[in-house]
Amino acid sequence: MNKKSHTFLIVTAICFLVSASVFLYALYEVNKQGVRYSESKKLIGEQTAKEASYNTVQSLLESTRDDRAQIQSLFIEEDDTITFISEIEKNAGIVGVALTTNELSIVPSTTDPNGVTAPALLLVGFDFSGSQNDVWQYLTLLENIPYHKQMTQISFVKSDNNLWKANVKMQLTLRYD
Amino acid sequence: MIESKDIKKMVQHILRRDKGIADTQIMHPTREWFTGLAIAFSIVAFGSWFCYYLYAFHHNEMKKEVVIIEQAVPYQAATVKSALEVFAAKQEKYNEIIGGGMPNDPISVATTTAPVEVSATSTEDIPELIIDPAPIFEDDGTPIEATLAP
Repeated sequence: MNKKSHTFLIVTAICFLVSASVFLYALYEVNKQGVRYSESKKLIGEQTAKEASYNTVQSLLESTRDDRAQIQSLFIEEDDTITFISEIEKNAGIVGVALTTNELSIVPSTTDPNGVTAPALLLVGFDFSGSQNDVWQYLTLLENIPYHKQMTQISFVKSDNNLWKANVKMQLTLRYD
Repeated sequence: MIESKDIKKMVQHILRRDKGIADTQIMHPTREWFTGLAIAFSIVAFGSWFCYYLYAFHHNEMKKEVVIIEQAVPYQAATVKSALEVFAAKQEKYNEIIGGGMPNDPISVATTTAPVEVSATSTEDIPELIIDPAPIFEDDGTPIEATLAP
């Protein structure tokens, strides 16, 4: 091999190596950009989904504002406890029964290990007496108190002189924000 | 007489003839040119195919539409509506009672004279007190037929 051919071979080999390197680098860049593009697209999709969910929740909150206000009013507030008892006692007078409040306590809110919070409860108990009709009327009244509650005990018994005595215990769910 | 060295000579002559004409050329420019062309063509063809594959792959990725999976917001409108209706009915009844009106006007029908005590003491799943028929009382009688719903 003469010198000219030797030089030509070396130059050709260098050109080939440079071309191959450029090609491989371009390939690497194309793949890198492709991966970045896919990740960005996925991220944009997730972001768009979040925005859509946010808008849905926003419109839902707007459209259910009245319902939520009504539902909120179905739960008694801790500060309104005394007012509530006063009203119950006043209503006893209206219906015509003699009422004694024998229990008034608050069970504080608890959170179990799963993170589920049980709301605080207002425990109230009443003894009342009157004519059968009045007692029944007052029981109906207590049953229809427009607050979220559970009547845990109801008992009534007839005593002397057509006097009926009743005992009611209730758990009212306290509002928490 | 033919001697062994004559036979050897003859065999060697035959064998030498079978080797054919000896190639005296060191280089074969045409053959090597076409070999180089074939290798270069293979590299170009493979590179083209690979580049097209890469292009098609990324082009398809770009054409793919972003699937937006919107998280559903659970809102049980029917449950809310029915709950509000229940409480509205309770409110109405409550107002009716404290307003002086009798939800169920007493009718003087006595069906039994025995006192009945109804109690529910469980704190869970309190049974609803169902009176059937609607309360019909008179002051001196005790018309009670009470059942505790399970």
